Amino acid sequence: MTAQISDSLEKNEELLKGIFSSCYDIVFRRIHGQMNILLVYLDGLADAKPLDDLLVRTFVPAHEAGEQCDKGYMLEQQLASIAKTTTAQKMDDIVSGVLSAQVVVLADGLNHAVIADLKGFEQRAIEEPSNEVTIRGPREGFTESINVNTSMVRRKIQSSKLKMESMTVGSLSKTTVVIAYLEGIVKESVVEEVRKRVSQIQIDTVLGGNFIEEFIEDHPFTLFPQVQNTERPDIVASYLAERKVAVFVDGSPFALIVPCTLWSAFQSADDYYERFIYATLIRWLRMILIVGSLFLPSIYVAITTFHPQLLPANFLLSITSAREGVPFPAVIEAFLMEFLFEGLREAGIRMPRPTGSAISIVGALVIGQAAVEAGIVSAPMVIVVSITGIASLITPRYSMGIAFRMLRFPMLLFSGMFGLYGITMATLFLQIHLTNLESFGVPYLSPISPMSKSELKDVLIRAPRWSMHTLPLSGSKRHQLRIPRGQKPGDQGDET
Amino acid sequence: MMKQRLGVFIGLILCIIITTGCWDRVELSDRAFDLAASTDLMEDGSYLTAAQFIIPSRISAGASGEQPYFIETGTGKTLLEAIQKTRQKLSRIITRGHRRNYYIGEDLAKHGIGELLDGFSRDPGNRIRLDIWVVKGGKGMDALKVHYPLEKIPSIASVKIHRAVGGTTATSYLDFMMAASSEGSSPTLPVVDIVQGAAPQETIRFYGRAIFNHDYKLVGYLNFVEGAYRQWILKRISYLDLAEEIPEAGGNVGVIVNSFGSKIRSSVSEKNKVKMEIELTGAGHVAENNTNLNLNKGKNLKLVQNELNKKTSEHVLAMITKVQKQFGTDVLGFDQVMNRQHPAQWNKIKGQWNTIFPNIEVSVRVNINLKYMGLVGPPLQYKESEIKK
Repeated sequence: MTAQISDSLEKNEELLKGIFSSCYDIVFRRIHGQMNILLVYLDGLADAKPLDDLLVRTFVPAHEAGEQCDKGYMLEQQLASIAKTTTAQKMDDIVSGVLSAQVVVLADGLNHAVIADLKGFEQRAIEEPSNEVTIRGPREGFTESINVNTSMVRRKIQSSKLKMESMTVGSLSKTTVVIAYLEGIVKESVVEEVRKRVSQIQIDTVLGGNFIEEFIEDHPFTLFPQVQNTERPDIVASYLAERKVAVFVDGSPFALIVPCTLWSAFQSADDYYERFIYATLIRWLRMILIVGSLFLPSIYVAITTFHPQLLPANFLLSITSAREGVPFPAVIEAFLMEFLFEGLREAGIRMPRPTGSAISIVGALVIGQAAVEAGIVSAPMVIVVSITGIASLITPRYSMGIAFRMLRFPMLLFSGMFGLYGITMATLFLQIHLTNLESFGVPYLSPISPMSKSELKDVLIRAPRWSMHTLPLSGSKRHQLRIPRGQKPGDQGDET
Repeated sequence: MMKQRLGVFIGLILCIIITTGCWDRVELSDRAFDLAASTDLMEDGSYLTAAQFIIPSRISAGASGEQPYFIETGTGKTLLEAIQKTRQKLSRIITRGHRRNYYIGEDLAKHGIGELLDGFSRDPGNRIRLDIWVVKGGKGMDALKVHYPLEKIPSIASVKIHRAVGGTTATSYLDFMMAASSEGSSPTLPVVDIVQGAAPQETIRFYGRAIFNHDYKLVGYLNFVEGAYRQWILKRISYLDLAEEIPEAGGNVGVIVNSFGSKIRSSVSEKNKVKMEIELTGAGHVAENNTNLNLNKGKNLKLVQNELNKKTSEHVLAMITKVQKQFGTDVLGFDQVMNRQHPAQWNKIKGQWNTIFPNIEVSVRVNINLKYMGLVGPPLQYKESEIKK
C-alpha cells in the first residue's frame, strides 16, 4: 500500500474506498467548484466545520483568479489559516492521517494530499481527580486525552527543559505514548532506559497505563508496584522536578512515574499543601496504620492462640468471654472475616450505584452485627477486621495499598501456624524481598536502605520546604540545589 | 531454578500444615485461665492445692449474680501430684500466664515452703511477676474463697490493695528467690489476712510482711506499719501515712509522705562489731492537724517536724530491734550494704552473719521534710485566741 497518489481524483477515491470498505464512519465528500476537492475524514473525530466555512468562502465560488498554476500551493496556504497542515504523497500516510482523526484533502490534478489537523472529537472535561483527593491542592485531574494531559503539566513547568518525547505503541491501536522529563535534572540513564523499554514493546492494543507498566517494570512477579501512577498533574510536575520520568499514555487519565520507591505509599499530595508539622504527623499516622493493616489480624491471632500471656489480665477476660462459644479457631475466623471484607470492598467498587445502599446495609448488618449476635464470629475479631479495613484503605497510593492488603493473608497463615515466631519470619522474608527490589536502577527501599541522609527529609518526616535544599534520588554526584539555603523565615540577612 | 526452589519451599510448608497436624495452637476456649492458686498443708502431711479459674461466659453477663470463677482442688504428696488431681477435673488446659497471686496457708508457711519453690521455678508457664502471699492465721484456700466486691475476679484484689497502699507489687516471688539464694539475707513474703468486713461477708486485708528463715520456714510477721518501715529502708515504698502526737501542743499531726529516700552507712570494727547508721528521708504534706499550732509559722513547723522525726525514728528502731532480736533473720538488706561498702570484710564475716546480725548496733535518723502545709494554717475548729502563733 505504498502506492503513490495519482493525479486523478476518481482513482484516488476508488482506492481509498477500497481500503475503507465497510467502514461506515469514514466520510467521503466531493465538492465541485473552482477546484474539484475530495474530503476524507472520520465522522465524529474530525471537526469539519471550520473547513466547510473555508471551502464555502474560497473554493466553491467560481473564481476568475488567474493563478491556476499552483493549485496545490494555494490549497495548502488556505488550509494553513485554519489548521496545522502537512502534505502526503503516499496512500498509507493518508490512511493513517484519516485514522488519527485528521482531515485529508485531495484535489483533482494534484499528486499529493493535504492533511489538516482538525481533531475535534468529544472528550471529557477536566474534573477533580476522584482517587487522589486533596484538601488544599489544585482540583484538576488528567483526562483521557493526552494533549490535554501534557498541556496541564506544561502549564505547571514553563521551562524549555521540560521535554516530551512522543512514541507510538500498538500495532492496531497506534497509541501515542509520551515520555516526559526535565532535561539536565533527570538522570539521563533513566530516560534512556524508559525510552528503550517502551520502544521495545510489541503489542496490538494499548488501552491503559497498565498495558505499558507491565512491560517496563523490573520485577513482574512481586506484589509491590515499581511504577507509580497518578491522575494529578501537580504530582507529575513535582516528581519531574525530583528527577523522575513520567510516561503518558493516550486514552488513560493516569500518568506513570518511574522510578518509584516504597515510601511513596506513605506520601500524599496534601503533605505538601499542608504545613509541615501537620504533614509529618499525618504521615506517621498513615505509616502506623498501613503497617497495622498488614500485621493487626496476624498479631491478634498469634497472641490469642499462642501467647495469651502477653495480654493484660483484664483485657484477656474481655477477649475470652467474647470468644467463648465461637465455633471456629481464631485463624479461620480471621480468614473468613478478611475474605468477606475484601468481598464487600470489591462489591463496593463494582456495584451499580443504585445498589450501593443494599450492599452497605447487608455488609454492616449481616457481617457486623448478626454474625456476632449469632455467636459465629467474635466481636473482637470484627473490631480487628474493621480497623484493618480502614487502615488498609488509608494509603494515598491505591496500587501500593493493594500490595499490603494481599500480604495480609500469607501473614495470617504464618501467624496461625507459628504464632509470633511465624510473623517474625514472614516479616524477615518480606524485608529480604523488598531490599532485593529495584525500580529503574533505584533500590526500592532507598533512601532508607541504602541510607542516604540528605534524602531523608521527605521520607519519615516531611521537612519544611525551605530546608529541602537538595534533589532526591540517589546516584547523583553533583547535588544540585533546588532551594537555596538561608530561606528559613527569620533567618534572612543572617546568612552571609 | 529460582522458581523451582520457591515451589519446593511452598510445598514443604503445605506439608507441615496438612500432614503433620502439629499446630501447637491452643484456642482461648480450650484454655482454663488460672488467676490465683493456693497451697495448704493437710494434717496428714500431703498438699492441698486449689486454683481459681475464670468462667469466661459469665464475665460479660455480670448481672446474673453468679460468680465468674470457680475453685478446683487437688491433693497429693507433692505439688505436681496435687495439680494432676486438679487436672483430672478440668476440661481445658491450665494456663498460668496470668496467675499473679499465690496464697500459702500459715501452717504450710511454718512447715516450710522449700518444696514448692522448685516446682515454681521449673514451670515455664509460671509467671515470674508473681506475688506469693502468706495467709495469716488461715488457709490459703480461704483467701481464694473470699468474694471481693470491687473486682470481678477477687484474686486481683490483693495485688491492687498492695499497690494502693504504696507497696511494690509483682516482685515478691522474684525477691523471695533472690533473697533465698543470696548469702546472709532472708526471704520475706507479703501477708494478707481475712477479716470481717463491713458487710456480713469476709474480706481480704493486706496485713504486712512475713519473715522467713533460711529453711524457708515462717518465723514471724511484721504488721502493716512495720512492713512499711522496712520497705522504706529498702526504698520500695511510694506512699505512707504517719500520725504522731505532739505533746508540746497537745494533739496529733498527720502527715502523708510521698517521696522517700534511704541511706545506710555501715562500719566494721576489729572484733567484727558491725554498726549501721540508717538515714531515712522523706517529703510530705500535712494532712491532719489537731494541735493548736499555726503551721504557717516556721517555728511551729520546725517543732512538729522534729517531734515527728524523733518519734518515727524510735518506731523504726523498734521494728529493727524486733527483727534482730525476735526473728534473727536479716530482711533489711544489711548484708547487701556490707557487701557493697566493705567487700573485703564481708567475705570474711559472711559465714557468721546469722550470729552477727542480731548484735548489729543500729542507729536510725528519720528526716521528713514537711513541704506543703496548705493554706489552711491553724486548725479551723479552734478560735483565733486559742491558736498558738
